[in-house]
Amino acid sequence: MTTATIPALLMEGVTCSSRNSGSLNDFSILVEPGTFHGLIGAPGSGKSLVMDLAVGFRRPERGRVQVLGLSPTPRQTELLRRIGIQSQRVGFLPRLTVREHLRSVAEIFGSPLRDVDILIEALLLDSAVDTRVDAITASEGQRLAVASAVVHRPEILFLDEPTANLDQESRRNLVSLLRSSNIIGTTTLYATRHLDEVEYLCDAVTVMDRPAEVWNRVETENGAYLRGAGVNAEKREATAVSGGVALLRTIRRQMGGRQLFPRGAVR
Amino acid sequence: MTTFGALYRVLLRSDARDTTSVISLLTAPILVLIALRLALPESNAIIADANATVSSTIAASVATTGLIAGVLHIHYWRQNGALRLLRTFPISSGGLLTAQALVCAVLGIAQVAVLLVLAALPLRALELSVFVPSVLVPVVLGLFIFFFAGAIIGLVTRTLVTSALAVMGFSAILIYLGLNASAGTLPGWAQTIAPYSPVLQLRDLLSESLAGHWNPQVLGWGTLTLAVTALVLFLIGHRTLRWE
Repeated sequence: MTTATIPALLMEGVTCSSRNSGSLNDFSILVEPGTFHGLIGAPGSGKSLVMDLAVGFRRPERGRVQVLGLSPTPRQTELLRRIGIQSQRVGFLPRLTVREHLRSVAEIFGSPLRDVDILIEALLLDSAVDTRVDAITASEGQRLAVASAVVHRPEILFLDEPTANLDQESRRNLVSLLRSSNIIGTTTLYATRHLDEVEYLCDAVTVMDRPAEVWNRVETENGAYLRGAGVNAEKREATAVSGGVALLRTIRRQMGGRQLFPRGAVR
Repeated sequence: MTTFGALYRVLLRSDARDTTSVISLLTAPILVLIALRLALPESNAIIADANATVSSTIAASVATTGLIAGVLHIHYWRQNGALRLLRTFPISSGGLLTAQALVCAVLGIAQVAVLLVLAALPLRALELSVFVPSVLVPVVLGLFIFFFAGAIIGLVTRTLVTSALAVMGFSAILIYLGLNASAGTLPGWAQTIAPYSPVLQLRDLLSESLAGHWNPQVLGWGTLTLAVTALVLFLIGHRTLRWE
């Protein structure tokens, strides 16, 4: 396999269960390099578990996980250097200001500090730059978490519900920022429970529902990607047949009035 | 700068900004020493044997500082979510624990330095020899031992309350193993194991260093015991800190 064909993320036949993050049963996903890949599902459907497995915070009970062609377990510090992770529940280095925090994360990853100010501006953190991380708002916290995950320019970025716990306006603002700024010029796996975010941001999607009822056969060749050009009829049928679960019905209902991905609406 | 170096600097900066803890760290053992000096008459054995008193106070400070730092950092990281961020860094669990243990060592050395200066100058309880810098070896090794022990307690106990209870139990064992009493006053079973106790070795090493004695047997055996204990506890901590 050449470097060009190595998937950014590959999971095959993964089975794993977790007390807090749902469970996966024979789950597979392929994230191609350069895509902004959405992972959509209801709370408890296993999105965070997929993220944890991908970054090596968990081992699958069965199946194979590869990130950038490497197994994330056992913990590989060199692989961690190449990936960016924003956990659903954010955490920061205590007692530092926003700017110090970002500079520190960049230094820890051995990255140049020049991107720190660019990120602060791009993610509208200017007003909080000298505020300590334990005193910033939830919205600033989510933006800082995203900035912390990309400050070292990772090859693949894992964003686990960056809009969780935000009010409607803050959520809209953050999604707009993610879309309009060029801070994320990399492969991204974006977990969310909000269909509009997937619609707005992603050019590929994997739909998940309840644990053990995962719908996932995502392959580029057979049109299984829900692409920016719109959802093709073949895919809609496949969705209905393969899925048959509540979330997919919701998606279909939404698709009844309009396309899931209006032409030109995504990157 | 290496990942480890950068992480160490960040952790040091973060801890140094915890002013309440730093002030408590520097003043608590001094207050103990002043209280002893003021409360006891000159003829009291504790005051008369200044070396033993100061070395016991330093050993107790090292043990307390290390234990509390180890336990509290694990709980603090868990509670404020820092552990979720720390686990994304390209560093091993052993690297993280060592970086924080180094920070603990730096602050612990500052604590001991203040204590020694106070004991030597205003209290005039101790005459510092030219060999006094040699206390750094047992102090650093002791801080590493107790930091790793505290971290292990923090990792295996899920709540702060259970950690506090475990630390209290641990402290009782330390006292029995010679932290605040000479080996001769220990119960029989404790006297048997005391020579192998890192706690007693720590106190003896501190006492020898302060007195400027260079008994190769005491120094060699004591340093080796402390170093091996620190290494074993580090390995246990490294295995116990799971990122999941």
